[in-house]
Amino acid sequence: MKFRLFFSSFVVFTLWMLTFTLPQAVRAQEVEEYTLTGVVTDPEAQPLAGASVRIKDLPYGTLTDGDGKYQLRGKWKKGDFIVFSFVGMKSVQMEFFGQEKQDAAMQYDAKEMKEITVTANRNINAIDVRARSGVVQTVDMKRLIDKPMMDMSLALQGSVPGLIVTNTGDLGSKPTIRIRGNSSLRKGDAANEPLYVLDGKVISSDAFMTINPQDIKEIKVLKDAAACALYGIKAANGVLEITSQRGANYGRISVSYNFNMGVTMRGRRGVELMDTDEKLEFERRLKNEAAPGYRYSADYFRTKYPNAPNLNAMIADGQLKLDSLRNIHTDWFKELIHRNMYQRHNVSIKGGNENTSYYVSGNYAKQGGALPGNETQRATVHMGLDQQLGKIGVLSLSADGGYSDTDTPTGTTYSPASLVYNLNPYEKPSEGTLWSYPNRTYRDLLNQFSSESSDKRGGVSGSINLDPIEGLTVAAVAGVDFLLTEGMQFTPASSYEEQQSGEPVEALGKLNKYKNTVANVSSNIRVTYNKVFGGVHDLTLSANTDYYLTNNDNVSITGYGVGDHPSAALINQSLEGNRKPAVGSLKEKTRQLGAGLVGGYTYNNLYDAFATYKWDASSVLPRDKRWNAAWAVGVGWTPSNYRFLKDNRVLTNLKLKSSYGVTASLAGVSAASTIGTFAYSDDTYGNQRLLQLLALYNTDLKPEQTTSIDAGLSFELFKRLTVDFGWYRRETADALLDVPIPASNGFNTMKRNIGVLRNDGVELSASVRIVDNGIFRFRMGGSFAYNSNKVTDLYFTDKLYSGETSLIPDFQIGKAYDIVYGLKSLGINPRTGLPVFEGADGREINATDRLTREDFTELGHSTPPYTGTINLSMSYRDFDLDVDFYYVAGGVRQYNYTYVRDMSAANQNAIHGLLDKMWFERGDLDKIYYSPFYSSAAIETLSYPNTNTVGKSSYLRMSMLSLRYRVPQKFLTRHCPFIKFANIAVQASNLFTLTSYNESDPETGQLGAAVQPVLTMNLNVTF
Amino acid sequence: MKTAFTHYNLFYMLVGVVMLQACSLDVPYENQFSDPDAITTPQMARELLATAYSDLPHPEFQLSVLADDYTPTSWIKRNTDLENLYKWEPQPIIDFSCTLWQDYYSVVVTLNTLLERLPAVQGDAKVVSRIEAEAKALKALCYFDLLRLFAPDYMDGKDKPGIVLKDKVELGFLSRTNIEGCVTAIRSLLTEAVSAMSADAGECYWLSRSSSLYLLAQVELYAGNYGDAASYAGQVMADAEVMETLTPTAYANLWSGNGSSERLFAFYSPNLASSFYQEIVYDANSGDYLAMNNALASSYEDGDIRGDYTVYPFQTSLRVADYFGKYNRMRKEKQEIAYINKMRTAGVCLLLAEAYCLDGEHEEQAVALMNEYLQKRGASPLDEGLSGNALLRRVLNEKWKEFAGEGQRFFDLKRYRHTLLSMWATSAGKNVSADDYRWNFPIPKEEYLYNDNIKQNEGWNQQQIQ
Repeated sequence: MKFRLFFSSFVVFTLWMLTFTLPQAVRAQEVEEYTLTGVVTDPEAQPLAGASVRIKDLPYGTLTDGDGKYQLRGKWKKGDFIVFSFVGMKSVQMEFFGQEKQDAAMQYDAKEMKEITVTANRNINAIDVRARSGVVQTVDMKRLIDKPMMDMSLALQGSVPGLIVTNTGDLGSKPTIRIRGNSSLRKGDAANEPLYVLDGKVISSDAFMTINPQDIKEIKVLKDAAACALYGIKAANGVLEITSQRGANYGRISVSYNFNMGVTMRGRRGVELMDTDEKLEFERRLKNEAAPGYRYSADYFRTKYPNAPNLNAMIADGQLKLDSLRNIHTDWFKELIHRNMYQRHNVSIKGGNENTSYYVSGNYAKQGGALPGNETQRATVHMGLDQQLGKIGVLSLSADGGYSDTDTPTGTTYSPASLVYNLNPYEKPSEGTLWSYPNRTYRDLLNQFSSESSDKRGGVSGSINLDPIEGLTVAAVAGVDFLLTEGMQFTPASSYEEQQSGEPVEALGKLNKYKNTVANVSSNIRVTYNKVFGGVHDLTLSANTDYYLTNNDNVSITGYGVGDHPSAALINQSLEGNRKPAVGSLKEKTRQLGAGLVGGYTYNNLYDAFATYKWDASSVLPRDKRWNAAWAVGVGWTPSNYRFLKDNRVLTNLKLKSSYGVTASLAGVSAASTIGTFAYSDDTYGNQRLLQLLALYNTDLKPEQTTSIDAGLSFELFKRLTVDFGWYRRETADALLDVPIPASNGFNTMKRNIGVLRNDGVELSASVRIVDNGIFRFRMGGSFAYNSNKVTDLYFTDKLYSGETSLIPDFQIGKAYDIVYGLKSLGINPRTGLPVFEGADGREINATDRLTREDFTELGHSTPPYTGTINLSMSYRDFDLDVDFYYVAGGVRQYNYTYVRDMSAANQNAIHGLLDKMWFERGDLDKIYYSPFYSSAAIETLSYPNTNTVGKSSYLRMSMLSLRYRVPQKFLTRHCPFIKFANIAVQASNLFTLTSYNESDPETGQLGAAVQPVLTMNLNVTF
Repeated sequence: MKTAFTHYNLFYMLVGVVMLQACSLDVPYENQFSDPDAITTPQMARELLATAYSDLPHPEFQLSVLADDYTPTSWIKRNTDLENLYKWEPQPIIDFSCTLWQDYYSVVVTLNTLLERLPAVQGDAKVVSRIEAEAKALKALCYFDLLRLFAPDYMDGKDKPGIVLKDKVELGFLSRTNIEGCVTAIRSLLTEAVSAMSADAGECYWLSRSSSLYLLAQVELYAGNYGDAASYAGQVMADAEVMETLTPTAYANLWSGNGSSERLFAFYSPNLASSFYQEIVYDANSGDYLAMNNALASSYEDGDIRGDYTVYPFQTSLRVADYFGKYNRMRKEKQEIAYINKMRTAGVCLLLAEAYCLDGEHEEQAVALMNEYLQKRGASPLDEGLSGNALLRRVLNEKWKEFAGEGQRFFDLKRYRHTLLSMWATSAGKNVSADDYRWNFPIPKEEYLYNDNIKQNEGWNQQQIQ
């Protein structure tokens, strides 16, 4: 019933809208054709992009470009008014008296806020009163778009201090995104990832990854409780509020085409490996027959055949073979890590009139990965339509769709990137079996595993903003977002892994195929009342209810026996035992309902107070735990608005704010943890299916209580230097974790409220205009964020070990949750060739001794606590140069060390310099690497990190470089009058990384999965 | 006019959005069932019970390795863990005991979950009470196995710590109840179970009145109540017509996918049982890690059907070796293993004979019973005058032959290690004295690291990593 109702009103509305939007007659009386140009700036004298410039009461209008410049052509008459307007700022009207150039400087207008809620507020929780005391920061979309990168979320790295984005692997893998650190002891996205809201509808993080950056008008990062509390318990980890591009209220259609074409590069070579001569000599010293350096050496023949009559001939023959190997110098890094292509096309159309505006765009992008078989591509469309509803409001509709797919050769057990480190310099890709992989050729090593996945996304949303009575705003948004993820992982029968599995031929070849659909339905209604009493008391009251449904439906099949054909139809269904075909299915529907109240008060633009309370209920939880609350209060003080400071030339702006809030969170908690929950397994007993208790439920489970305190200060000096400083403390009490419990309980772990986790941090960002004389502009900015986390309490113990044999605690009171524990190395014992460690009591521990838990010390943090950016912007006449750097510092990472070979692995390549730095025989002094005649698997102490096997993971990366040339207006007018703006640019992302970490990628810790440098040419034309 | 029209439509749109929000939050998962609506029908209760059955551990192979059923072949060098288990090295025993402790308590928690929810189950009261009785009997079975593995023998001191008795589905940090207390708890579980079960015969993969009585008889024998043990075993002998079940066909069917009248209780799940006894195999063509103990293999007379199914002659590269048959034969002959025999009628017969011997007053009946049994198996009878320890030793020996490879021997060795079977280690070539601490399996770290109330068995502390 309700759907029919909704549908019929929708149809009626659409018809009505069509009649309304028919082109209206253009009024023209005593007019001439004029061209007007100019620059629009914001109150900080920065160029203002996207400001509207139009002729009052006429359909001529345009928007300023990224540099605040505009060019308006049309027919009007002298005496008409030029109107400059921008959301949140006072409109500026100027009379046209025939001038060719007209600049405008816009000023903020607090009183103008009412207009914002009507025209710009598609994220209807984005009521502006919250920003006066909460921490809401905006991503610089211009810089984001200038970064030639496929992955939306990865491109966010460094955009806002405190928003930490970390690459996790090769191209297409999902990065981790955290706002101000992990708020839960539970690792992983479910409990720590922020909430994503696109135009007021909640979307999944996977859907966010596939959005085209050019369709985004604005991304706001909500960090503190005051800002997030409007979203309730879903927002315990912060919010990313995304607003899509909209049309423009100026008569003419504007078409833009943006094109990037370029190359991706190999990136940093993590480890310098041995070349042929060093490797062969290394092999000789390791004395392993499996490696040619020993097998063909004189040593080998003398040991093996001491009395052979033809010994000298054998030695000479061996020498010949070695000499022929010495002529080969294959650089496997260059052989396996490829340069590739990058391209991106974007077409967007904007237009409309005073009542209707629209935006349509299409985008295609493709990036090739560094490894053969790794690439990702994406196509998206986006449409937005805004309709003025008489005088009372605005209706907006958005629809978007996207397709993206990613192929990768990297699977769970096999990574072609490892070949870079395993293949020997004296081996060739073209010929012969390999020493490093006996009985196999290079061709046999490729095509071992393939994984492909694709996302198909579609979403529609509609919102209405009504302003029926002065001061009262009613806004509603409803949206559906749908994501279909399909994937296939395939290990062919001919792969090494399968051939070694010992399974019969008919069971070889593994295939896993899955389909997963996520449908999100969200709606939100908000009523806001704003009134100014007596000219100084500005009061805002607001209430909302929201609803959110997510429906997750997953099917998967895993089967064997497909041979070399990646088709699920070929799965051998006669197999039994552990290669039996398996079908998985999970359907999960959850609903969340919420209601909230907000109150805000501002006195004379000097003092702000803000309070919000939100109740949320989730169907995941049992009835008695269903409703949870989030509340926050905030205050703000703007001394620069005092009369005596109002026109101060030194201190042009000063604002202080502070907030406090508490959010209950049950993110990542399912019913099975709180109440007896059962599910069927695939197995049978007798004639019965098996109904199993899923977990030892904890009836005393409480939500995690996240308390945040924030304080912020921002000021501006001389209208040139702006500084934002923020301090926060976020404490998660009753933090949840699956902790080990006595086995006599029938389960090994139970989800319990176990302790208190605290994140403290400071964030600082500053920007300064150093030069700005109209021709040359130079601006510098930077940010710095520090996050320190600490487990301040554990309720049942002071150190928590995840397993009974663990020597290293997972969590310890007074310590950060990401501490890397290890041993203190005293170097390599020249007598034994094994490392010696210093124990807790100062005693010396030999490698073969038994360790105690006390022997471990802290080696550092695995998550770097310091992050930040440095931005430079320069422009000279028609040239713009933008450069961004991103840095992290203060973390450590354990070296991978797979390229340090012991005797058993002598047939695979090793790190350059090992010959000098490895202990080979008694008396070898000052060596770094222990004896190759031991395997790390046999000696427990060798498996732990120690002071010699970790390195600082700090790095500085040039994350963006853009050099743009704006084609002058005069040139365009003369030669291609149909083009409004045009510019060309050289753009690059992640061009280089400087690091002291002398191994793999300091960010991912993987040997072959650093983020790719991309260098492109960019062309941007607007018609 | 136009404005009114707009208002009208907008009103409907708003109503539509409001109605979208007005939905119930009671959304059950498609494939999960939560309390209080989860276990409400006898069918779901039975399915939960089936999970408890299916989770039963199968320590038969490892216990036989520890006992004297096997002797290693040259392949054992390829499997250090198994070799160390054979030699009673502490580490594999620690690993093995950890799995057993976890698995048995996992069954117990499932049964407790079921028992807590049964009062709310609506349906045929008889069906529900049958489920309850089976749950109690199965819980008793787990407790009894745990007690015999982790606690000292009853005869070593009934006041010594037994096992953790777990009755509630909640996080507990319980201490060990003493052996006597454990026996009392097991006895009362079984007595309740037996009294609630009618004599009807069902599928052998569910516990029945007879199998529960047999278990009760084992418990009483363990606790030294030989009269009670004999009485319960006698009841089973009569109820299950044990002597009639002992036929060559039924015996052969014990190690096949067919039904067998000799099964009192057997685990049955083609999927879960398929890998049973796989650990003995080194390679299908090359051979097994372990072969039959020579003394045992050569003790079967010609015509003894037990020998025919227990010993499996296997052509190795050098000679024909006496490999283990039964499940291992099924695997070698590519038969699917679906049944794991847990209680057999022959066991009732041998238990009754053992009880008769031990109470010292029914030795003649014991001899008669044994002879009837031996005749059914095709073996020669005992001397009529056999009595005392000699008789008991023969009974135990026949039990060894009957249950070779089925893990029973370990419990007999533990029970009689000071007395009748004190020489077993010497003849098996193992260095395990009667006072060895390893007879009582260690309480796993998974328990004592998180439970301050638990007491480790003597001798094990120094073996652990703290």
